[in-house]
Amino acid sequence: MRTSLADQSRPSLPPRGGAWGWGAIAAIVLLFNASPAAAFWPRRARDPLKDVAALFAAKDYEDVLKIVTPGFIDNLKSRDAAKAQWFRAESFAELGRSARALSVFELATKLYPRDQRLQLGFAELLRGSDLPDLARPVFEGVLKNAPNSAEARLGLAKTQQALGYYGRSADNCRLALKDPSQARNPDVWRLYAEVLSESGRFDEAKAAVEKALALRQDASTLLDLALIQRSRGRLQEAIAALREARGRRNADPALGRALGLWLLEDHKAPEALREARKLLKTDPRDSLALWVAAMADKSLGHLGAARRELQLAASFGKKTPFVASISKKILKEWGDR
Amino acid sequence: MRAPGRRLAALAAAAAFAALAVSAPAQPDLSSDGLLRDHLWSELTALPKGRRPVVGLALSGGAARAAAHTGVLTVLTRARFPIDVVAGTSMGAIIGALYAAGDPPSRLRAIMRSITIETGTNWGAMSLLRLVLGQKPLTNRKTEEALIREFGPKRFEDLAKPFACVAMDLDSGEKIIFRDGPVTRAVRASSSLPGIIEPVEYRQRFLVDGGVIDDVPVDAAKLLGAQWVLASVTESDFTRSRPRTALQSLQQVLDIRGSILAREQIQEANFVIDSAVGAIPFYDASKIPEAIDAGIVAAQQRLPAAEERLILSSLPWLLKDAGSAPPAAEIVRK
Repeated sequence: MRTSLADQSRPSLPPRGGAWGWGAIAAIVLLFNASPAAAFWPRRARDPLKDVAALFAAKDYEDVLKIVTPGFIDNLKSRDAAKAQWFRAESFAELGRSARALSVFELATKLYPRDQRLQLGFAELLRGSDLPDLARPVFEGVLKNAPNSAEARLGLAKTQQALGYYGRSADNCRLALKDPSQARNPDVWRLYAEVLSESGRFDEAKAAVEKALALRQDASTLLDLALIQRSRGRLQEAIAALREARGRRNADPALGRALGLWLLEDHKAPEALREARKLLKTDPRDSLALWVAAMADKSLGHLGAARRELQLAASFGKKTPFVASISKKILKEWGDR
Repeated sequence: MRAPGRRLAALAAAAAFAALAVSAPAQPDLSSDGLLRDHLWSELTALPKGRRPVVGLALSGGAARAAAHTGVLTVLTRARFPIDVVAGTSMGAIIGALYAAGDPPSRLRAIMRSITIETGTNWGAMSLLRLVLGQKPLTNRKTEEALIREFGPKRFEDLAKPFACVAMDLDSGEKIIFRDGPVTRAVRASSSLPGIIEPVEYRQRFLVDGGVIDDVPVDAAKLLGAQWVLASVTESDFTRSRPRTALQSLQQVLDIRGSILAREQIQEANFVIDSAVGAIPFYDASKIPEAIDAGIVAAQQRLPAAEERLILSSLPWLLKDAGSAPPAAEIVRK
């Protein structure tokens, strides 16, 4: 019989008695561990990040940073160290110190390239810091290793949206929506509707935003519907949806301003003027409301009022430079008329 | 059993990590400036041709880099940016001709992606040997054949939009702006890189790439009647390259010259979209998808500013009651 060298070098099995001996030791250990005496047995070390996680959840980011110092991280095992880096980077980000957060993430993602959470955190922060061109490869890297990661897929979709790659963004939304949990999320449908609308596929966009509305009727989704309807040339339906959105978010002057402009587009100057006056009651220095009022007044034949409103709108150039430039130019065009 | 404290901490950590998951999509631009821009843009794009400024598009040369124009056109088309006339040089002339013929940006991108160095020239071992040893340049006859396949033997007058392309007379150094006659021969002349591609004989002239004299043909667009010109520029960043071969040295010289010319010409444009394609060598067709993406990104970033600039220039039209347009002198301001 052929005997390999490996077989020859393997130590011979212990006799039956020896086997019993090992079993007895194991049994004693088990008994000892289960008894009150186990209290004296050295237990597995406690989670070194337990307190950090609690502080982070309580939004005590300064305290997280006081604990999770580079020295603290150096004494952790690899897996915990990666987690700690995440807490450190996210805490910096939450405190608005994006540059520090980015540098922590950059280093950490190099140290732990397989840690998906770190990679995703880094990519999201890059995207949120208006650096979508840098975020894109990071999201793509995560998807390479985890093609079913909905977070990465949607992060990439948003990044592509920011870069203007609407077709690819819509493809990624569609893939993400195959996951039943994502299909129940109205925000994913809203994102899908937005990129479809931005790529000129308005009918599909309307269908997608209606799915979002079926899941949640809120001001943002109604605003999306309004914008899509306007893009489809359905101005009256758009105005109706915008009114509904504003009804749910009355404090937001942007919706009132948009309504004023859309009413002007719909040749409803008296209604536009009413909207503008409502806004001006709250903030007399609202330059766009002044502009809407001026245009409405002009079409109603109130030239003096229109000129005064435009002059005011033109004087608020710091916050709204485009409104001011347009107002100045219109005043110039009107001349002494 | 796990201690409740530990479970809570785990839950807290899970919740913290879950914050990474889907957040609401970005809101549309609801700033006052954004809303007014959107409103006036929708008014402007609804105006019929003739009741707004004639908008021209000038496409620079740059071979593989110039594929970025298709990305720029994608974004402009999506935004319903009015483009009434088109002028192009070299690869800009090829893309411009196809666009003026009515090809949508999706088709242009597909064409660009299918290009290899052999698509438009007789590139190969033998022809290169002849170029190096016999000083016999390559020919871009295949470019003309490909263009004929794309839109037939059309003349400039047959195109959907007025179009012009630029070449240079090799004997006199004159700039030749083509606006009539067969499109394909003119476009081929406009894209005959001197020193590498043989000049094109046309109307008793030997013509080479217009990029050596007019890389960003803003003037050609104006000659077609444009009152407001958007220039799409795909300049090389020649300061980054260290030429080592004859081809690289020639590219460097052409890039430097093109860059100096472009700097002057873009002064005449009302708006410039400069795609970040500086690192892409003009002959590297494998980088065409990268160039297209760079065009999309550049145009996407610059679009709001381009819209604002065109709105401001079009205000006399927007304010005018239906009927006559204001005189041209009123409008064309940067």
